[in-house]
Amino acid sequence: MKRFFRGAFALVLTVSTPITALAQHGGGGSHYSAPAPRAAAPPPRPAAPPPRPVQPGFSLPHDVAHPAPVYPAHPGAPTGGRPIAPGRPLAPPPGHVVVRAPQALSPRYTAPAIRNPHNWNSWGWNHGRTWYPAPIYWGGGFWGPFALGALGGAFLYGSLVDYPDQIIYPSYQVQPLTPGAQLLQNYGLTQTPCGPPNLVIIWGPGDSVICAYPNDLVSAGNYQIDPTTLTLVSAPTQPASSPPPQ
Amino acid sequence: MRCRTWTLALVAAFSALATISPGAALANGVVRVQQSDGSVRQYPQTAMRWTGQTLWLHSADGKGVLEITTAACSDANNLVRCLPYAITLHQSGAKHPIAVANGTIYMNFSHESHHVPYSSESLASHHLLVAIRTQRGTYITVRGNVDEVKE
Repeated sequence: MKRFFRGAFALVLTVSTPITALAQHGGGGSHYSAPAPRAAAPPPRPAAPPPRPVQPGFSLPHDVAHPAPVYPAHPGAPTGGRPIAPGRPLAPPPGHVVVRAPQALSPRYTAPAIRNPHNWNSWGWNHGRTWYPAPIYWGGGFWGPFALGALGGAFLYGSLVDYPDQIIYPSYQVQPLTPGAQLLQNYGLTQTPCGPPNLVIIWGPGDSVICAYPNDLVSAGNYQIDPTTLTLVSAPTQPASSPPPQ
Repeated sequence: MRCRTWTLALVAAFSALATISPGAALANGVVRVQQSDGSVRQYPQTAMRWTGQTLWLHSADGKGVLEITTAACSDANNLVRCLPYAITLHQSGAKHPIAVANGTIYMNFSHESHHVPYSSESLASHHLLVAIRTQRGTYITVRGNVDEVKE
C-alpha cells in the first residue's frame, strides 16, 4: 500500500515540475534572451547585472507616463475639415461652384434619396452589425483605416475648399473591403480625386468627403450617407435654413 | 485492491496538477509588446474576452487587464475587422488610458478558418489578430483563441 502512495507521489513530482517551470517562465511576461554560450573556453566576463524585477501584469511604461484622451462610448467622428492657414485667405477661382459641407438636416425635412440597388434592410450590408465611427480615424474609418494623426500627403486624393468659411476638406482614396468601398460598388461609382466640377460629392461621417464620376444612377451633386441602409441622400450645398413646406 | 489504489493515486496526481497551475486552464492568447526602444516582452497564457466591441486581455498572473475599445466594425472576407481607438490599462488599482495612433483587429466569429485580407495568415474559428501602434511608438500585437465572446 505504502509503495503505491510513494509511486503516486513520484508521479505528481515528475509531471508537475516542467509545467511549473513553464508557468514561471511565461506568467508575468517574458523577455527574449540570447542562446546559452557554448562550453568551449568562455572568456572571463564581468558580473552580470542583477535581473530586472518582473513587473506584474502588463508593462507599458512609456505609454502610462503620458495620459491619453478618454473617449465616450460610440462618439461621433471628428470633423474632416481644417481651417485654411490664417492670414492667407483663399479666393474661389472664377466660375467656381461654392462647396459647403452639408448641415444636419431637420428631422421633418425628407431629403430625396437614391435607393441602394441592393435594398439593404437595417444594417443588412454589415450582416446586422451596427456600424459606429471610430473617433481617431478620418471619416470614423468608413472609407479605410486612415488615422488622423498619421495622414500624410501620400494618400491625398484631391480636396474641396469651402471658400466662404475658409475650410479645406482633404479627400483620400477609399480602401477596399470597407463600408465606403461597398457603397461605391453598390451604386457602380468610380472614385476620382475631388476638385474638378460636375462630380458626385459624397459626404461621409465627420464631414469626410470623397468624389466619384456620375453615372446613370447617380448624377453630379452633393450627397450624404444614411449608414443604416448604405443609401445616398441628396444634400443641398447651402445650409438648409428652414424645412420646405409640407 | 491494487487497481483501486492506482485510481486513487491518479486522482491525487491530477488534483495536485490543478492546484499547481491555477488559472492557466485554457487561456492561450499571446500579447507581444515592443517598446519604442526596441525591447520586447511577451505575455503568454493571456485570457481574452470579447464583449460588444471591446476586447479584454487578462494577464496570466491576474495582475493586469488591457481594455481595447473598438469601433467601425465591418465585414472583411468573412472576418470582422474593427479599428481600435482607445486602450485602458487596469493595473495596481488604477486606470491608465493609453493613446492609440492606429491599428486593426481581425476577429473570426465563424466556425471555419478564413484568410486575413492581403495576407497569407489565416484565422481559425474564434481566433483574433490584433496589431496596434500607440502614440508613444509602442507596438502591441495579440493573437490566439478568444476564451469568451458576448456580442
